[in-house]
Amino acid sequence: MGTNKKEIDSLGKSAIISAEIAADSIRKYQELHTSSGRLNVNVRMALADLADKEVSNAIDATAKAAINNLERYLKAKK
Amino acid sequence: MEQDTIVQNRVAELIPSCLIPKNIIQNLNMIKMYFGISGTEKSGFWDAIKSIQSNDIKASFPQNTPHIVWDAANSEFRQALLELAAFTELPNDVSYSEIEIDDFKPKLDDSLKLFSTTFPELYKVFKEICPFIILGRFPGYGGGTVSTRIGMIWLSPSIDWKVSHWAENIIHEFIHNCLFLEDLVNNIFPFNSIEMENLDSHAISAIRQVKRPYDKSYHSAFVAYGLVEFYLRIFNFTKARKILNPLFICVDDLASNTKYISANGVKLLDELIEGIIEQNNFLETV
Repeated sequence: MGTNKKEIDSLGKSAIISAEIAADSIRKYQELHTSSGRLNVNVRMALADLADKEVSNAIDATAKAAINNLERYLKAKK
Repeated sequence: MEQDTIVQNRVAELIPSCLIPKNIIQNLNMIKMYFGISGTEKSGFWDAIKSIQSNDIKASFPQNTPHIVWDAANSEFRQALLELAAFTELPNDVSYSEIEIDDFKPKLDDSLKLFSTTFPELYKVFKEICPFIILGRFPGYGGGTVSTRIGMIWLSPSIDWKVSHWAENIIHEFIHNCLFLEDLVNNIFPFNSIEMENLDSHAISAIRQVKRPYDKSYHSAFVAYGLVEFYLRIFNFTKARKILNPLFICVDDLASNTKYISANGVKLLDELIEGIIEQNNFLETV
């Protein structure tokens, strides 16, 4: 019973902390994202297939190097 | 048959936590809680987000979502449409004709079905986060979202859009909304516009494949990941590969300069890297 109470208290505390962190984040977002501030506008062009064959080959070659870099990055983090 | 089994096995879960339905719902609940909205009504999130971002819109949460605003230019969504498209004036032919709308309706319906089949759990969340899809023609553009109009997706379709194209565009804009939510509740981009416009903060975008401000490229990476997943799930491996390769270049660039994102932003990026490496490994088996 005592353990349950402790667990509930601890869950309650962590919920309060999460709510406080979220409240800070919401306030910050509201400050940053105004019509005169930092808007994240994602307007998409109608063209879907941008790359021609030559560009596409270059991308594929660069992608291989990028994959190796990212695998190393994850390994280093772990 | 072999291939069907492999694809079926891989669809278990998306990896980045900001795209996992239960986490998105948690974000929705945090926002509702912040605005003192209790209960489990699906309208709660729209009521909350409308109160801070879209006070000019009276529409309440629709009974059936997403609700399609076919003629946004002549509705209370006019201002939202301008902001979503980042224009100050509407083009003359912004409204679609009845013939065009008749062509769009069945394709849009089918695309929503396709979305719900490929991502069943995520689709349920989509219906709550994005209650309105607003249509308006801006020649040369496909659609968009903006961080100050969460809950709305703008589309600028053309007659040649196929069902998969409609679905791709809706999923694309929905992922932007998921990231806005994550940024709103758990902070991803802590800096202001001047800092984010700094050239040092630019990174190669996954979609346009040019250097763009960090937040835009970061968004593009998660969108591209979602689209790869969509194309894998509808067995269009060629299209998936075409999106995945530039995505690696983008994410490599993002990972080499993480000072423009929060610790949560770095965590999400690490999850995304795991996700795209898994997608790549999978593509090598099919």
